[in-house]
Amino acid sequence: MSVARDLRVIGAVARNDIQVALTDRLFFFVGLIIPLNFLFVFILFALSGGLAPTAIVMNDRGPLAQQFVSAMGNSHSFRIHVTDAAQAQRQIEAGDIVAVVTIPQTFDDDLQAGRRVELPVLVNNLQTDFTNDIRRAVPLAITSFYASAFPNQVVVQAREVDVQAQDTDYVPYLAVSVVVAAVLITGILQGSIVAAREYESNTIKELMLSPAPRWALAAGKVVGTVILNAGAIAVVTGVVVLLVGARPVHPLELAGLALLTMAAAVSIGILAGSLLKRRQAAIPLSIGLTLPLFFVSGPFGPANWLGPVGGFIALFSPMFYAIEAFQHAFHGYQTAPPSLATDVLVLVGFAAASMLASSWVLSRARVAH
Amino acid sequence: MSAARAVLALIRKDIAIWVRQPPAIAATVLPPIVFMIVIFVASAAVGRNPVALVVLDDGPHGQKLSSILQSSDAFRVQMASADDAQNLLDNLQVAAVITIPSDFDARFDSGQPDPVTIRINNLNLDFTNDLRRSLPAAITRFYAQQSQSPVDMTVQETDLRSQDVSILQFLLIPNLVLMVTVAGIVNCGLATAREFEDVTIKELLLSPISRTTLIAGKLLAGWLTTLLVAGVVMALGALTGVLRPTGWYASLAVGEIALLALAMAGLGAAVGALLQRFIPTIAIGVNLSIYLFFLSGGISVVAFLPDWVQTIAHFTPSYYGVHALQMAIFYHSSEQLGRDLAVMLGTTVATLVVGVLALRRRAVA
Repeated sequence: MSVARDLRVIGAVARNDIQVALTDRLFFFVGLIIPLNFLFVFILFALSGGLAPTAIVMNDRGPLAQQFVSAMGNSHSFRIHVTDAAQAQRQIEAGDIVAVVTIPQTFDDDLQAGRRVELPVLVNNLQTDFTNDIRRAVPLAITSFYASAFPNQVVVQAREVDVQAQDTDYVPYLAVSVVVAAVLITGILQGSIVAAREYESNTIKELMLSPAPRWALAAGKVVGTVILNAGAIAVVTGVVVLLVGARPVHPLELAGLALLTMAAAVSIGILAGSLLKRRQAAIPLSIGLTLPLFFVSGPFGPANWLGPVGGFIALFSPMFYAIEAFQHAFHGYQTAPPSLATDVLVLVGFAAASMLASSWVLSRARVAH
Repeated sequence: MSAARAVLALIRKDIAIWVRQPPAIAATVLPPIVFMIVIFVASAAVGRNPVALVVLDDGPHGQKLSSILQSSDAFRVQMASADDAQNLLDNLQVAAVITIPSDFDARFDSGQPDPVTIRINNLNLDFTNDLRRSLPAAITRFYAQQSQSPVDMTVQETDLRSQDVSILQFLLIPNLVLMVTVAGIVNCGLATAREFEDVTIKELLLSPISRTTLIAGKLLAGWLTTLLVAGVVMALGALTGVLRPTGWYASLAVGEIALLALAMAGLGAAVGALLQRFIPTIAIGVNLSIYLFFLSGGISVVAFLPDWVQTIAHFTPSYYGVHALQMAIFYHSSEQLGRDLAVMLGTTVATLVVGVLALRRRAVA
């Protein structure tokens, strides 16, 4: 009997939250527009691809010079365009390009005569990451060029063996991480709003005065908010599948993980909203803490590849486990040492612990007149 | 005189409300601290992939290549036997295994094709391409160190700027701007929207002060809390030695941050006054913050983005804020300072006007 009563409480609280939210269409707007924008911004970032925009000034257009430019293009490092010296200078000073490589006038003749060639490279040393990319990539292009133009002279070469059957493009990989960020940010944000609103509108009094168990109240809020957010997350996932082209290898696993991750996120949000009691505090805190957590949870690649400190911090983030599980559902491979079962258990743990903590906060709440 | 007193009273009121809410203070101060920690951790690993190195040849050439790989700033190298390396790769402890074969020296000396194997966990093209570049780059260094290198071409590098800036320093500026943007737009926007939701706006509108005074008060109160965020980031940056502007440029940087914070608080006040409700203010405020962060080079250097995105970036105030701060802090330069300051000042004035107009439309119900 008591189980049936608890289920009725959960259902009633969930229904109430859904009805309140339905009166506020902007609630849906927030749930949809934030993750979609997040996705859009990161796809634009991924499309930029980390290739350095570079101008090439060709003072010699001989076959070896052309071959060298091809070697630069094949080095996975540059987005090259050929231009004249004056235009290249203007572009680098305006910050539009990162480097100017000038092919000397006697490039072909010097190489054929066995004379030393000095290759002028002007670098916009904006920051060491990009500057080092250029400093590595130009010599790499030189050696690759020699290996193809003079194969008998350059014998040491890299032979690549890949672990995965095929490469995964950066955009589909990152898009999956962004779906997780969308689930977490939306869930925490909406959960905190739903909980804090009860305190601001004083409806928390009615909940406190009811004989319903506190955990059932917290669970009802989680269920209601998960249902409210499910549509928004389905849209974001649909965009990733249909427009980005990331097809889930395990669709049912994906659906289950999305619900579980959303439940964990909403539970954390409800805990934050119950503790802070004001939307004005809960909202910036939810966003301000979730964003940095995203960056340390391995959205761009395995978190432990960030080093021991980064890998250790990631272990405390629900997003870390969710990203790994989602990558498995989409691409079918593992991106972190914990197994899929561990990921699921940890996410269940986060959801349960946050829900219990929320019911504890509710049980300590006092109704003031 | 009375307008100044009214502005001061509004600032005192908003700050008093803010101070009485420890969660609001935590919401303002905690995110920049967490973000700073994340940046410190992440920047230490950028561009350096963990690899296991298996060296099966004790000859001088094999050892030379091994030492080049170990000192390369593209890798974090872990020496391993072939079996251990395979385990490390299988357990995702390393991104790749590089193997220098047992006949490396013999093949090199006899001029035969001499492959060095790299087994890559090609999870995504970003990491994979990094690794695809890095081993050939090490081979290039290997050839450069040979007494009689067949590669007879050298790079003659000229740097555009007088000094290199580390990735950590470089990332801190857009992230400082992000924190200032979120604090300004979201906090100040919510503080303004709260007046409407709590209906306290009635009292303010019925008081004998102008709409301009009212918006100026809200803007300046939001500005002060936003400055606190900037202060936390700057203090942490100075304490760790990562962000230490010197001389006149230190004052200039502080002034630029103050102006940017004013512009963002103004934007927040305008958004809050226009929308008058929490939820839409959040929707607009958060999205605006994400875009301003992205368009000011927070995630990727603006020059790397598509042309049409770069064009849009030129219409955002945070782009100019980041540029002004980079020039002052990193390069001790006032290049295009007038333009940057004018944009930030213009944004502040424009948002003030929008906020006042939004209040003029409001009738007390």
